[in-house]
Amino acid sequence: MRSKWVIASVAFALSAAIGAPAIDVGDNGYEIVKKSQDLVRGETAHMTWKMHILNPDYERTMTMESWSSGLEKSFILVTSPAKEKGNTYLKVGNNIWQYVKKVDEEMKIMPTMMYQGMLGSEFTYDDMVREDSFADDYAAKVVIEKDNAWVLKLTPNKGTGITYTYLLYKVEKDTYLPIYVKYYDKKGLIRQLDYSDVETMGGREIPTEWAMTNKRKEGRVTTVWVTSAEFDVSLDDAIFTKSNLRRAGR
Amino acid sequence: MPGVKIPYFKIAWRNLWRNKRRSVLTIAAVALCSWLLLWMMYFAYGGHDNWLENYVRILTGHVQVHALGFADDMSVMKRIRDPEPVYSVIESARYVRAYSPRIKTYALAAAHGNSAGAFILAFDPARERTVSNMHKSLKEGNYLTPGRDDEVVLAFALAENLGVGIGDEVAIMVQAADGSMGADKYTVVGLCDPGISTMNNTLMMMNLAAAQELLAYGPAVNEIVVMVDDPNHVNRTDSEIERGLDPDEYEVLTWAEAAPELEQLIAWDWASFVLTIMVFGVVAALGVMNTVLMSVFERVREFGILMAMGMRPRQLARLVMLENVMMTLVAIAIGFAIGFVNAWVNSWYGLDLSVFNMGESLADWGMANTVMFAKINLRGFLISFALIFGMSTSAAVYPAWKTARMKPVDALKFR
Repeated sequence: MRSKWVIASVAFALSAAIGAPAIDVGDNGYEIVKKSQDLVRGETAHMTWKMHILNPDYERTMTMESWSSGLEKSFILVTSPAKEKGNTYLKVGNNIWQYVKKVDEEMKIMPTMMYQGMLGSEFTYDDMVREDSFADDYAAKVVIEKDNAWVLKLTPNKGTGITYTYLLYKVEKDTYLPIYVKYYDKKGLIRQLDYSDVETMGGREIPTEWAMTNKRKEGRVTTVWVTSAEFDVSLDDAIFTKSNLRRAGR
Repeated sequence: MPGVKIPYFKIAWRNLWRNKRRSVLTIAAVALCSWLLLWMMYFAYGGHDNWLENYVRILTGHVQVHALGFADDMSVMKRIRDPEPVYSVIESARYVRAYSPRIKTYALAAAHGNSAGAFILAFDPARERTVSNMHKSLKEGNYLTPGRDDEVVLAFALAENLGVGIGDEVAIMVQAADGSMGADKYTVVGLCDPGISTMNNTLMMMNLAAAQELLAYGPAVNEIVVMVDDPNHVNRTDSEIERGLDPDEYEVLTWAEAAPELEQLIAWDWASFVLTIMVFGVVAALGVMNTVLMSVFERVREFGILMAMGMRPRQLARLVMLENVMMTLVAIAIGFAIGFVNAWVNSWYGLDLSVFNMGESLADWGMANTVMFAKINLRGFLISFALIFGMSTSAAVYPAWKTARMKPVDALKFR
């Protein structure tokens, strides 16, 4: 009997120390994640981007144009620098194809390459593939609720093959806009994605600066800026086909 | 017999020939062991040198110079940005026979919609000839032409996976040193068989300048491979080059550091060799002990008389030991004489091991050559001598001890 009391009081002390006892809002967690993810994408979207890659070995800037339909399909065209201009990427579901203009070859990104940085950045192919099932791949639970924001703990569901042990996802309450995503493995924080500079673009309020910081290797940060956006525009289905890889690259 | 000087050597030598047949047989057995041991020992030395020579000639060289940390992850970023001063350091090392700058990297190769991982090895074909046998791996078509940066030579299995043959184009994509994607097309001019299993389905060779362009390397390279005149000078050359370079910027590795698995293989081979020798040695030593024991028991009465005349048991034991030592020395002299001639002949005319069907497992180590040569050296002689002499004389310890404990009266009554 005594030990039960001890455990209970320790548990209470611990949860108090963390900030607040975990509030189980049930399916609410899923709703929050889903809604916040949808906000940034829209049903269809056509955007232009600037990407800055910083690491100890080099620093470079690229620009890109993207089209997406739901979370399922997306298409990216590299528009600068000249060396890589015309390279394209197509994502449909879990598959990514890449077209390299210089050698006029297209190929599928192999499963072994999924965790490699895309275009030498801190964003991986896996990040791109995961975004359409983000809300479904994790069990979300609100762990902190204060200062007009939720912090959700996202634990990977079984069978998803996700290598992170959990994610912390911070969302602003009023707007449902994401503030950060922190990626953890057994050894702790690996990487952090920060959303900032909320602006109105294409008729929506969205964060226009996304910065992915590598927390294990110092000095590695990739920042992308949304430079223009249109939402819910009508997009031709032909955009999201393999034959468009080569066509769009010209 | 106090005060009397016993002519041990004379007595022992005469005793040895009192039973001629037994001594000759024992000497023959020990001589055979000595012969085989020396011969096998020299084959082991020759074989290991052959392994090493073959292995370093494939890829590792005797000494390698990289930018610090390259050996760990082969990152394209870790490169020797300005190789000229490094070349001067290498050239000034005393025992350096040849060196060749290279670029090694992993890449994605694609053709006709097929793609495969590739290991790019880029070098100056004329320089590379002096340090490795890569040019000998060519099986079809042509080797790289110096100055033709659009040419590649592929391993057979890689070409097959990509569905290309000689004359076809293949696309290569890599992450370049400036973070951009390096991509270009090349024409397959030849097909090769690298002869080392890990490279059979990945190797792609090209000119050094082609890889420098592809990786945005400028004048940089990421490996300089060095050959010395004699394997014994590897460590000296390694430290000589190391002294000339900034340790915060470069790493200098010997073949043993770059390919520890080969050193382990050699160590393992020695261990199994020594184990075999021990087993045979113990059997041979038991045979010798039997002979010596017999010669002692035959002479118990004789020893009794000698003791009655005043000779001490300990002096008798010394005599028994000496007989054995003499016999062993004679046997070793005969055995080693034959062994030396034998090994010397085999150092010129090798032994073809292909009959033992070891070809396949040796091929994994790049040893297509199955003819083995012996190598004569002082160390092999000393080790063999110590082993045989030690085994054979220790076999006489028990009979000598028995002799030392004999009581004169019992010995005289013995029949």
